[in-house]
Amino acid sequence: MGEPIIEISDLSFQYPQQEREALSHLNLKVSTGAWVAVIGHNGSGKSTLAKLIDGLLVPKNGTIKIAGTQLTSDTLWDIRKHIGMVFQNPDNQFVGANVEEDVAFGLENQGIPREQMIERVRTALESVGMWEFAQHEPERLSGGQKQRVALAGVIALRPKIIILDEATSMLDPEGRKEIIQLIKNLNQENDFTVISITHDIEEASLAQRVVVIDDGVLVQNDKPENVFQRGAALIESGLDVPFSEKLKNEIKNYGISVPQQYLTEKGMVDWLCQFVSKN
Amino acid sequence: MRPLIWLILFTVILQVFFSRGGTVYWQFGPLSLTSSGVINGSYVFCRFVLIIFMSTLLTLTTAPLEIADALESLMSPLKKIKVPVYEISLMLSIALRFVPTLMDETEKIMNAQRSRGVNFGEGSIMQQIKAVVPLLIPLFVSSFNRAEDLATAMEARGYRGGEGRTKYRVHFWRLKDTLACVAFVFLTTILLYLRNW
Amino acid sequence: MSIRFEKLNYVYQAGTPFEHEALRNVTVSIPEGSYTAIIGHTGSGKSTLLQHLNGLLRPSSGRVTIADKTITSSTKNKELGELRKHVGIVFQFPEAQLFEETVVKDIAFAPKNFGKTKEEAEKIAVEMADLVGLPANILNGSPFELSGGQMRRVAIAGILAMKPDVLVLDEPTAGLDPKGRLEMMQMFEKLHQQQHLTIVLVTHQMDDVANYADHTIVLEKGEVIAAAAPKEIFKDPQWLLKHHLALPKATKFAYELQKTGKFFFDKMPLTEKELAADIVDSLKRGGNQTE
Repeated sequence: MGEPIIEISDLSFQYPQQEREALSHLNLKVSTGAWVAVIGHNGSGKSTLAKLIDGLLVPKNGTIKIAGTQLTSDTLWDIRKHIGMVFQNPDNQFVGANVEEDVAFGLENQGIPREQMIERVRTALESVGMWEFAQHEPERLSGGQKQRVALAGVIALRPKIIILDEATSMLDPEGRKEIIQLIKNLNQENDFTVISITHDIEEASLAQRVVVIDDGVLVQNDKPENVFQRGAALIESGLDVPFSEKLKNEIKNYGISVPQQYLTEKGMVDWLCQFVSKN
Repeated sequence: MRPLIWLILFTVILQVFFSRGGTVYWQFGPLSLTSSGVINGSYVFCRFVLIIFMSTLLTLTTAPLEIADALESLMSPLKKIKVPVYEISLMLSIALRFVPTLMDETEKIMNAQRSRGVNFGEGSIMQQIKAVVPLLIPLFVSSFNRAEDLATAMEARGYRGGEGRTKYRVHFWRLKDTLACVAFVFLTTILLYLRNW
Repeated sequence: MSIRFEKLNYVYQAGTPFEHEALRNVTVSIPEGSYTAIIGHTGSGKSTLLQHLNGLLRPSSGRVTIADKTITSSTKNKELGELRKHVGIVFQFPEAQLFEETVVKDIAFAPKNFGKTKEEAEKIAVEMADLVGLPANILNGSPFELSGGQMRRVAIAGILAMKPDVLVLDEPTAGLDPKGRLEMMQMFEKLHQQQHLTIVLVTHQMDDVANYADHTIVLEKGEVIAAAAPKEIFKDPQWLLKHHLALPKATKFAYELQKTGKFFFDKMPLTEKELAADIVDSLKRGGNQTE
């Protein structure tokens, strides 16, 4: 992992007409090329964090540095060029009249010459497997396809950071799988730094780091296996734990001693096989 | 087309029976059938039919989005007097893009309220007006939410007004455009000539 | 109250170039008192089927029998209206249907439409709010100031206020966080157990099917390809794979274990609890003891 690309220190935010801070005194560093999952229950402040990083909200106090530059009203538009965001509702972020125009929207905003745009729209759509739909209007696409287009719109801008703000939560299981697979590829092959804000524990388990936010406070920032080990405490704060962890607890309830550390499903199968062979 | 038929018939009848002048064929109280009435009536009829034909032809051959683009291009001189032509055209194109989405939404909310015992399009006028409230309020709420989401998404994608933007969707002037223009000028000249003749 | 579909076909925009057959020759029933899950991909005809359950749509041909009433293509609108109070449908993202100034008024909306007086309806509303776990202090406030999860509860209470015999739920937990999801599903389970409501659940979550349903209807491209207990449905992974359907997590894990040759399951477990019990059983016996 390289230099931190995002450095957040002592960040607080409060929505107007709310008594409580939505985020308070949050510190976080994200290394270049990392994939960080941010989890927390609804209303915990995780989407607020995403919007703050992109300068869509102005913090009450604290600083955010993106690639070494501090986020201020002067640097805002330059910093936004480094960040691409995909939001939750597939319909409400589709600006263009059809697929290719939607992908081009961000490029138009940056004043990219048309010849280059045509090239970049095509490559971006090909990389998400939507080029054959270039002329389609949004109403002829499924939710998953719309999210792929949104992702293409982000890729076309060639940002350093991609933020997914619950981008898979309104999709059916197939659409969700496709998007997660795409993110995985983008993170591995193109060196995008990925921040995915999610409820989906399977999605979070793919990340290199998991950040847990509860009621506006950063509770944990660790490797997935260390986070998932806290099992019951996670469920307590409105979250889920991976299936293997749940199963381990059920088995433990029968008085069988189980390993302390987090096991993936495959790890669980291996452990059970060993256990059987030993006895 | 169907609602228009009644409008046309009504206007034509008014013209035919209430115009004065020329030879009187038939008279009853305020009603009269005169030669100029018949001529006026046919004029009105032809005008209406032409208008309907033309607009149908336009909407059948030209996508709404292209009409929006054409409007932008026609309005572009207004940029000089600080009319936000670009923003207006973007608004139009986004509005058009959301028409199917909102139709879908309307359908969904109607189904939900029907399931709660609302009968749309039935009962007295008062009941019908009342039935619209449970449809309109959710529609407004969801539209506002959509608008807010969309604004955030646009900002996140670097939208900061029309200045300095390039365009992906462009239209080129082709031979057939020149031909169409020439044909129109020609037609107009003939019409003007015929009128003065 | 049972619901029965017989040779039902439904065609959208019949007689136009956009004609589209959404349901084809559907013959299936939803038993009284059951917890029936309807599964299938997006576009498999689930939502069209749903809209036949309370007469929002009329079959193009064939018939639907709800209790003792039969709906065919020629049934009058008035009769359909009557039917709607017996089958309550909670649509996807039902919070979108809220419109009244206060929570109570919104919940009382349906009973009022079905002929209850204002007082009666609001009395029912207060009961229903309690039933879905809404705190009493929000009842006279605006529904639009509540959190997403609470708004959804208000919408559900608004359907329950019709006192339906059948409660239809179209992906009721979409967009909720894991805790909200679990609480919601437990609430429906309670309604099923205590109020003896027949529940129809449309879902993509196979774990919910495994955990709660006792009957499953599988739709594909407008046709019913299976209707049986979840145990039967999840018995054949090859068949599921062929139809691009997922297994419940516990079942999937059990198949993985079985592949190792060290574990054997007589009956495939559907839930974590069943799986854990089976595994512990095997561990105590020392693994595969089938020989």
